Amino acid sequence: MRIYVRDVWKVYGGSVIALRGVSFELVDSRLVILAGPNGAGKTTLVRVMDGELSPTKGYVSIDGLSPDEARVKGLFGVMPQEAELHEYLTVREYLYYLSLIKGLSRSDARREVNRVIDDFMLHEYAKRKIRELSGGFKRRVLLAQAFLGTPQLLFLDEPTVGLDPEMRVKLWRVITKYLNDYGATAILVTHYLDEVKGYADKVLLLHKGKLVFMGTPKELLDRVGYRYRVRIRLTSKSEGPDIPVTKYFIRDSEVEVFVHDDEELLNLMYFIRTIKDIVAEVVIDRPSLEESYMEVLRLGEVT
Amino acid sequence: MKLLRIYAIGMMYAMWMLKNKLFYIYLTLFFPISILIPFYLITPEENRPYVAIGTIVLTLLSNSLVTACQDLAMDKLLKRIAVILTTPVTPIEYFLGQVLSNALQTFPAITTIVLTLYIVRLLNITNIPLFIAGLTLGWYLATSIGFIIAVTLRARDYQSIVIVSNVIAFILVFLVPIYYPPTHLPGPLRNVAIALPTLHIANLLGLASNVNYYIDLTTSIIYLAVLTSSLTFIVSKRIKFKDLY
Repeated sequence: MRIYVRDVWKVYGGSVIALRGVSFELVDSRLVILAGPNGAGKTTLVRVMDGELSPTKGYVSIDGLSPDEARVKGLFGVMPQEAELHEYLTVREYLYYLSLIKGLSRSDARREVNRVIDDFMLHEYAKRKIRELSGGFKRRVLLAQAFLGTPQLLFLDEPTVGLDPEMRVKLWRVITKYLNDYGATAILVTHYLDEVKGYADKVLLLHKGKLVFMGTPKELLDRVGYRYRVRIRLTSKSEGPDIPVTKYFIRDSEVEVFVHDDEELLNLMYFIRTIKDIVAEVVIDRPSLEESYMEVLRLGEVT
Repeated sequence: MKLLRIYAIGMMYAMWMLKNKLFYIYLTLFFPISILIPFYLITPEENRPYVAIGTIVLTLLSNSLVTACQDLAMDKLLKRIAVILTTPVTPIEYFLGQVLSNALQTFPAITTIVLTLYIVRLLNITNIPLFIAGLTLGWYLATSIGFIIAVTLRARDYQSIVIVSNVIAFILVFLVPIYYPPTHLPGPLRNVAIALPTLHIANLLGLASNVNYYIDLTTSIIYLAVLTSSLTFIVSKRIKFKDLY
């Protein structure tokens, strides 16, 4: 699937600029993370891409067609950031009617409803009215409906907000399994970048309506400027050893070292062995996507 | 156009009423009868059949127009519309779903009134097909007017949509001579009334049950055909399901 976004601007009410010339192309992507601070224009971009909003300038095409085309909309599965459900319906009724609205036959609708009820672990709530569900379960129903009709392009706007960590992990598995099984693409708006970095093949960062980064999670991690962070806690408060790397900080009895590559890390490990008498603890970790994201925003880079 | 889609939209929106038994009883029994009785009591005997038709038209038009308007306004307010807009559903399918929903919601009320009026011998339907045609056109026109108002008023403000829909319903129902013969109105006002669809719907129901609104059937049929075609054209060709909220 080819998603083409060309110089998209969106101005609300003639004065509020939500998107400022966003352009990118995605070809056969699997999971694309769309991130950025609040008010960056993420939801607006999704709503332009899924055909809810007209761009003030520029255009979007999905496999060469406008998102307004019925056959393109037939490929979509959309979970909006915030949308109420039809509270008087049971979960099963809601999903069934939405399946029919998406264009499925009665028998296909029943089969699809059963599939998403299974996938999203909604069995024991299927006969309950939606208004009787907690906020977290309503989010799950809203997420589940996006997968009705085996969509090929999913727009999921903060799908795991308000869910407990265990359920978030389960749902990421469900989403990624679906994408792999059906060869679908998902554009995922999320603030939990590190939860999905293992699954995502592209990251788009928006800042103040502009696309400030587009690349793989690894490329984003590279932007932070180091590969490993090594924290060395010393046995006593001292001036600290002369560390053989270019970037490090000493704070009280702790040395924080930023290592650029594997060779530098090995050298550092050898060095730590030579000073082991004054070392109480060594902790090695990698930069998170969130840190990289903060770094990119800080630098205000423009791709 | 997919009939199953229209059915699903109709059921989805009607279900809240069908499952809300207390409100359903209020709408089907209390609401129409609470209007019918006082109007019946204050109206001279020779005009009482107009009260019967007037109450049917009020229940039909007012409820359908306001409900169609409020459903879309509520969809926008609660952002439920986002889920619908991103499916292949077209404005005309959504609208026809709303017509079905309104029919499901008001049909019991209309049936209750018609039966009550028939039992108390206030209504004598002699042309059932014409009566049903009048009801169907009423549902359709009121829903299309409500739908167009709600789409046109793009503001998120639910209150303003509700106010506008109620004002228009009031103009269409209470400022038109449906509870009494149009001959009671002064000439210029009568001409204004004839330009509104309410009187023509009442005329179809009246002609089907020997209540005279002093408009011939052909005039009403031409008027309603032109209006129905125009509104259907607007809904299917002019309304875009974009930038709604």
